Amino acid sequence: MSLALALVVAFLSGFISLSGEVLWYRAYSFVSEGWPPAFGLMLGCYLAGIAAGAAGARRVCGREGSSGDARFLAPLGAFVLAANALSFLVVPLLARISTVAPWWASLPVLALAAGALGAILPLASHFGVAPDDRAGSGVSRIFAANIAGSTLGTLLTGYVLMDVWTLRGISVFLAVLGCLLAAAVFSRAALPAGKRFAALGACAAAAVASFVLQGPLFDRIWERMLFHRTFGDWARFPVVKENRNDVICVTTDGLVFGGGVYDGVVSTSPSPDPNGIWRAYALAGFHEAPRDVLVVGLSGGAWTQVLAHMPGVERVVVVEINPGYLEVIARYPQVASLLRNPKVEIAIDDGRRWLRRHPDRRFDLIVQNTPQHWRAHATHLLAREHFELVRSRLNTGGRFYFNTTDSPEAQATALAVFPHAVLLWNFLLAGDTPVEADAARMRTALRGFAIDGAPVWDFSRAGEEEAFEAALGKCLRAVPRDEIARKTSGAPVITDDNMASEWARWGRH
Amino acid sequence: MDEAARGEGGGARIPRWVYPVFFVSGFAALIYQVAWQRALFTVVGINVETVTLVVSAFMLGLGVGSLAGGALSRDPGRAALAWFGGVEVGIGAFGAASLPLIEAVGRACVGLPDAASGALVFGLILVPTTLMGATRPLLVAHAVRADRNVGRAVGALYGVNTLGSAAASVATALVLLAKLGLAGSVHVAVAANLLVGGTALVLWRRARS
Repeated sequence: MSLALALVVAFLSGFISLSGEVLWYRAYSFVSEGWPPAFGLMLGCYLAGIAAGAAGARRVCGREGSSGDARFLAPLGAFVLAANALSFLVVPLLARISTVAPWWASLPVLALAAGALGAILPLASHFGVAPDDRAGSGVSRIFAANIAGSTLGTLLTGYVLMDVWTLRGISVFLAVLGCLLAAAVFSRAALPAGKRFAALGACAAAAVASFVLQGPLFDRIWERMLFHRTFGDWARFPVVKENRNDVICVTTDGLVFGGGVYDGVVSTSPSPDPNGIWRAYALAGFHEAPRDVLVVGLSGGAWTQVLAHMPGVERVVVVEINPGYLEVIARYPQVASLLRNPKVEIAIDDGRRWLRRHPDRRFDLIVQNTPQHWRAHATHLLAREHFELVRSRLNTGGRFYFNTTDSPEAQATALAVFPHAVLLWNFLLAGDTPVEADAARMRTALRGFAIDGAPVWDFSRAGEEEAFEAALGKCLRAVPRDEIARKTSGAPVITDDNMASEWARWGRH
Repeated sequence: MDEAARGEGGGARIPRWVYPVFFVSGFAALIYQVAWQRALFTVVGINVETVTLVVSAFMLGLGVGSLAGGALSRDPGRAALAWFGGVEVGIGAFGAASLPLIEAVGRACVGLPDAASGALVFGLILVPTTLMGATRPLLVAHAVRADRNVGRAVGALYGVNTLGSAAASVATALVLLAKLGLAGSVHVAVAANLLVGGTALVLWRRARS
C-alpha cells in the first residue's frame, strides 16, 4: 500500500470511527437517561474495543507482508467493509436489546464495532510505512491523518450533520462512506479483473443495502430506548425533534422527554394537574411584585407561560440551551403564545454562562426547573458556586425557586447559600429575606388568574371550587427551613469539584 | 538490549517495560480529558459550541503533537526515550497547574467576546494536548528501533495505550470522580505522568551508561 492510500484510509477510518462515537454517545446517553457513568462505561468499552482491535492487527502484522505488498489489500478491503457494517448496526441493536435486557448488555456489540474500526489504523500503518529509522515520522503522519479525520468527524457530525439530519440519516451516510473506503482499498488490491469487479460490486451492494434496510432497522429507536421492556406497538412519539443539542420526544399525552429524561408536560392546567403546575402558581403568594423574572430552562414552556401571566410580572427572560424546544412549543396552542408574548425574551444559551455574562441584570425572581439531580452535568445548575452566582443577581427581597428533584444534596446546598428558605413539595424557594406566603394575596391572585385571556379556574364547572381550595392548600403548605435542614442533615453540599448529586450516589440510580 | 527484549531466534522485540509505561500514559491522558472537559464546561458553559470547541482543541493538539513527535523522532541520533520522558513530565507539570489555570481563563472570558474567549480556551487546551500527541510517535520510534515490524510496534503500543485510556474511562466514571472529585482525579493523573516520565528518564540514563 502506498503511503498516500494509507493516509486516506487513516483519515476516513478516523472520521467514521469518531462520527460513530458521537452517534453512539447520543444513543447511550438517551437510553441510560443521562446517567453520569454511562459515558465513561461507553467510552471504556469503545477504547477497549479499539485496543483489542489494535492487538488483533498486531498479530496479523506479525504474520503478513510488509509495506507496499498489494496482496494484502483485498482482505483489508473486506475487513473495512465488515467493520463498517458492524458499526452501522450498533444503534439498531442497542435499541432492540434495551427492550429485552438492560441497555449495558449491548456494550459488547459497541466494543466489537469499535475494535473492528480501530484495527484499521495499525493495519494501514503496517502496510503503508517502511520499517526503517524514518518509521516514527511515517507513523506520525498516519496518526496525524487519523486525528484529522477524527477531528473532522467530531466537528462535522456533532456540530453540522446532527443539526440537519437524524441519527438514522447520519448512520446511512457513514455506512456509504465506509463502502467507498473499502472500494478505494479494493481498487489498489492485487486482484484479477473479475474478482476486483466482484469486490467493488459488493461495496456498491452494501451501500444500497444500508439505504434499503434503514427503515426497518431504525424503526422507533427512540421509543424502544425510552420505554425499554414496556415498549409495544402502542409506542409512537407524535413529536421527535433531533438536533445537535439533544433529542426531544413528546408523547401523545404531552409528556416531554429531553435526552430520554422526563422534562415536564405541556400543560398549564391546575385542575386537573398532570405536572404539578400548582408549584408555579404558588409563586403568586410569595412575592409582592415580581416584575423581573428569569427562567433557566424552558422545556415545554408550561412554567414560563404561567409566570408570564402572573400578576405584577413585567419582563421574563428565558435562557434555554436547546432551541429545539421552541419548535415543540410552537406546536401546542396552550403555550404557543409564549413565543409571541412581548414580555418574554428568549436567549439560547447555557444558563450559568448567561448569568456570568450579564453581571448587570437583576431579577425579583429566578426560576429554575432543573433536570433530575442525578443526570450528567446536573451539578452545573445545582452547585454551590452556581447558587452564589444566582444570589448575586437577585434584587433586594428577590427569590430563587428551583426544582430540587427531591435531592437532599441540592436542598442542603441551597440552605448553605441562602439564609431563608421553604420547600413546596420538591421545589425550594430561597432568599436573603424571610420567605413567607401571603395567603390572602395568593387567593386573590389565583382566583383571577388568566392565560391568554382565558381564566385558569372555571368556577362555573362542578367541583372547581373544591379543586381550587385543594390547590391553594398545597400552595400554602410550605415546609419551613428548620425542617428541611433536619431532613437533609448529613447530605453533602454540592460543589463543582465534588459533583455530589451526580457521582456520590450513582449506584442509587 | 537485555535478554528480555530478545525474541525467539534472537530477533529484537519491544522491551517489556514499554507496555506498562504506555498503559499508564494513556490512563493519565483520559483522566485529563474528562476532568478538563468538566472544568471547562463549568467556566465557559455547557452548550454545544463549547463542547465542540473543547473536543476540537483536544483533537488538533493530539494531531499537531503527533507531527511534532514524528519530527523529533526522525533523527536516529536523537534519544526518543529521553524526549518521551521529558514530554510526560511536562504534561504532569501542566496538569498540576491545570485547574487553577482553567478557573483563571474562565474569569478572563467573562468580559470577552465569544471569538476571543473561544481562542483563549482553545490555546489553553492546545498546550498539553500537543504534548500528549507527541508521546505516541516518540515511543513508537523507540520501539521500532528495537522491533523492525512497524505494524506490530504500532499495534502493540497503540493497543496498550488505548487500553490504559479505556481503564481510565471506566475508573473515572465509577470511582475517581465519585471518590476524589475533579481536583483529586487530576492529581492521580499528575502522579501517573511523573511516574511514567521519571521511569523513562531513568531507563534512558541507565541505557546510556
